[in-house]
Amino acid sequence: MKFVYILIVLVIAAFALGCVDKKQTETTTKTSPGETAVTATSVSQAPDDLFGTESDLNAMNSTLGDMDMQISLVDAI
Amino acid sequence: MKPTNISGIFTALIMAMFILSLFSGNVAALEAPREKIVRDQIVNAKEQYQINKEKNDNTREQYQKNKEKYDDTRNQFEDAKNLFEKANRRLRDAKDNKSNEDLNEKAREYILKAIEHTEAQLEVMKNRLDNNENLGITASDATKIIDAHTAQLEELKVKVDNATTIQEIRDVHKELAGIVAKINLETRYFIGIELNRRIDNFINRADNVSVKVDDAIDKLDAQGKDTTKLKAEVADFKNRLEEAKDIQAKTIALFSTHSGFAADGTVTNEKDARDFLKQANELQRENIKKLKEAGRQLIEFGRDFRRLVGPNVKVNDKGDLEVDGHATTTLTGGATATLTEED
Repeated sequence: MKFVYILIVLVIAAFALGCVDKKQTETTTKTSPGETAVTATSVSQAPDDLFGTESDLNAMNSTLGDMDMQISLVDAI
Repeated sequence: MKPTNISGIFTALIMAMFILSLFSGNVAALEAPREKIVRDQIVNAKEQYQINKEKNDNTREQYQKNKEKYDDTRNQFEDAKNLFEKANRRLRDAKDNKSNEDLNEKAREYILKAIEHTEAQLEVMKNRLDNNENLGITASDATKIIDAHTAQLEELKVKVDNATTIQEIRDVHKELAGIVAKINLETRYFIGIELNRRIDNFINRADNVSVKVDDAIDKLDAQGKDTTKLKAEVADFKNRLEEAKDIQAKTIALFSTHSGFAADGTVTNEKDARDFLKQANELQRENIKKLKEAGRQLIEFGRDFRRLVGPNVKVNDKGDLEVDGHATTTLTGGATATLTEED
């Protein structure tokens, strides 16, 4: 009978270990999709501008502005 | 049944459960390394994202500071230039020492402000090229050229401080004019390369968006919605995108030849460089105009799409176009389609 009690304790322990590991697996799986979101860029934009087009175009305008940086000296002193 | 038999069966049952439960532990243990790898990858991705974000934020902040400094030095330069031109008109024919000294001082001040302004322009350009998103262009060569110009300008500051005669000041100005002419051309060349990168990115992402909006329209068609207007807007968007691609191909061809510039970005022939940049920059301006038109079409599409399916439309974190609260109308596609980019 003593042998049976030891076996019961071992079974409970083994189940518990198995369950803990399974729980970890579920947690990771659950967080994964959320984690991938970190690669997405979030910029406030107009509701109709679904794809953030304005932001890109503004960035291009800003670069275009820098391309126009030209220094105009007097012809001669 | 005898108690010994019951005990025997019970023991066998528990043994079987024990063995099976060990397997569940083993399976979990086998999965653990894979899970650990995934977890590590997520942690690494988060860390890398954080590093990139901080770097981008710093670069953007530095850019703003450089740009403010550029604007300040431009105002100071324009003021000094005006003062010099007025003094030059008034005093150039004067023969007395005081007038000559006054004119020299105004010329010296004008040159120093011109140098400071040129240095500020170089810093803005360097920041654009230092940006970690500019990988793949000749950033290191460009940085060397910019640093060399900065050193030349610092030498000129010393020369203009030490100049005592109008002729010495004229010599410094002539030298400065030569450097500034090169810097003006290099600015248009290097920033032009950066602009090409942004235009390329926009076009690539817009291609992905085309796929998304086509998917969205297909799904609305399947639901029996009237998508005539959406289709017309998308067709217009695609036409402009194709035109933009053609223009971009011509621009890239010009930049590949980089007439008047050496491979490292040094000006080798000012006239050729000017002609090349005139053509290339005109194409770039035309292309941005085209992309703005395409962008406007996309915004029109967004407006009409929302009218058709309701206000809760968004592009989710994965770049998928979806309508909240209605699983059947969730519109998913392939690659990320968000066009959002850095400033």
